[in-house]
Amino acid sequence: MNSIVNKTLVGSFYRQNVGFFLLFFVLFFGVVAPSEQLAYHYSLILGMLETPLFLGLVLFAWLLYGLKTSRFLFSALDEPEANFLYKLAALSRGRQFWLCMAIQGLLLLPVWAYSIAVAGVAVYRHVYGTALLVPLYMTVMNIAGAICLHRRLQWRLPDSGRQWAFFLRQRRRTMLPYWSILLQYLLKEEKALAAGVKLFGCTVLYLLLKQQGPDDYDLRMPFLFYSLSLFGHAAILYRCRQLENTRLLFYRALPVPQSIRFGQYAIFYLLLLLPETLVLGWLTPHPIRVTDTMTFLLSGYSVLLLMNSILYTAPFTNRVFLRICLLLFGILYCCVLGKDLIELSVLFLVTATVLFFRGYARYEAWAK
Amino acid sequence: MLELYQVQKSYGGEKILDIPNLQLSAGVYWLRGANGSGKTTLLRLLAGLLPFTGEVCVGNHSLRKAPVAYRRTISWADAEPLYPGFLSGDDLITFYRKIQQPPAGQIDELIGHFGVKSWLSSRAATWSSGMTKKLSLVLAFIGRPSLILLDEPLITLDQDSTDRLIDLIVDYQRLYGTSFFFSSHQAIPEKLQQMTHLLELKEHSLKRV
Repeated sequence: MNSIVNKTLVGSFYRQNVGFFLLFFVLFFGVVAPSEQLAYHYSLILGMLETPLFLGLVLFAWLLYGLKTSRFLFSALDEPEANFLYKLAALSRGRQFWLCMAIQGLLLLPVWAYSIAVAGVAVYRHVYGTALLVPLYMTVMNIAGAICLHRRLQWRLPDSGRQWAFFLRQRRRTMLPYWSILLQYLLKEEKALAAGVKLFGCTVLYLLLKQQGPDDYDLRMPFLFYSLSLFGHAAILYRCRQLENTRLLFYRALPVPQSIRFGQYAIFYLLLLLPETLVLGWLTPHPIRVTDTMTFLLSGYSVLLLMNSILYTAPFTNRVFLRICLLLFGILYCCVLGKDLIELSVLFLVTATVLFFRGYARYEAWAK
Repeated sequence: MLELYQVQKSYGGEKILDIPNLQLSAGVYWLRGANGSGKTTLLRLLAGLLPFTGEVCVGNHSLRKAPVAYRRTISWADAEPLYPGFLSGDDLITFYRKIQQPPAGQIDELIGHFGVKSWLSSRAATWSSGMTKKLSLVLAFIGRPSLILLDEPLITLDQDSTDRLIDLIVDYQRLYGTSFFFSSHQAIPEKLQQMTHLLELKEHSLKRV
């Protein structure tokens, strides 16, 4: 039974979030030479032990991840394919609870691993408060997630749609543009993913650009991280396209000109980049120059539109699409080194427009 | 009303549709065919959801040359419709209203006819498949399309809703000259028998029965 549960819930969680984990793997292990990995992570953990604010941020990020896992489990249980899992409710309560603990623990595994490392360093540095707090925090998170899952299995919690109903009361609208449906989708069904990508993008932009001074003004490193966050948007785009291929299929049959359709995406991606725009605006003209701010924004916007149009050229699998995005990321970074970013962004915008107008009518998601 | 010229559709090299030439005048068409014969593919193709080779026209509007004008003349409802769970029925109607620009009062009439008013403000995630189907039918009738494509319109509907749909098809055909093209495995309802033309999809091609 455990293997079926693992395949259905745990395995599919890691498969679905491969892009998310790849992004974090690159961020935490890919940016430092292998010989310096240990020192890098040791200094990160020391930062947590010495700066309560930093520790608080990390714990908050872990909480977001925990919510993401719970949200996934609830959604997975709502899927018709998972109906058979309700047989689990026939198990004894104790067995059910420990099964839920194990599922939640497996989903929290990456965070558990890091938290144990933090606790270990805390003991080594004699910071016993943190050494106790971190595992306790993780245990509480694990138990809380397991209780929610346990209650859900017994139909004592509403489904994943209704649980947020209090916060998401609908009101009668007079207008509902297409871009707003995509935006609502992110805010309501992909909160954790969107928040993670945006939080990462804004944080790295702020932290790395804040350090720029007139004497050592070099935007290559900030741009590397910024383009990593753009790469993270690939997961958002892919999810949006899945939504369009299934639950927004009717839009393709409606009499909407291609230019208006393209315009809807143009507005959506403009809004999607709003948090990064605000951070960049805040840091302009000091420490970042106006022309560089424009370059950051134009390149980001053009990459998002291009990734969107690429998704209309063929029904890519998640893995293939991520590879294409990695290629784009490589091209982008090469151009940063060669200082040809504006030209490349214009080229990306033109390519995005051409690909969309050529690909939209020919696209069929289910042509497998 | 509906004209198909050299329409071909394949999936991965496997031919699904091969319709040389077919002209259908205005009316109600009932499409039959075995499972996997290509009924849904044909309806989706006519709705402009699928790329294909050949040409399809409704009235004077070619799907290939004037895709927006073509789509203004047709409307489509899927066999098993799905909508984003966070949208309400009101949201979806608002979305369609803006694009389809229905005549005054039509939407309220449709809402009343299908009896969907009581749950229109609830989110799609809370609907049963029958409720979702009813809403998809309401949406398909919004505006004044000259051809309405309905993929398996009778599945998941209760008897009362089926009767209401049949009445609406009869009314729209008589009052507005709306044509209907739908697929179904069920027997033609009595009220429609006099006005319905049978079509069969067999060996990749569409033939009158």
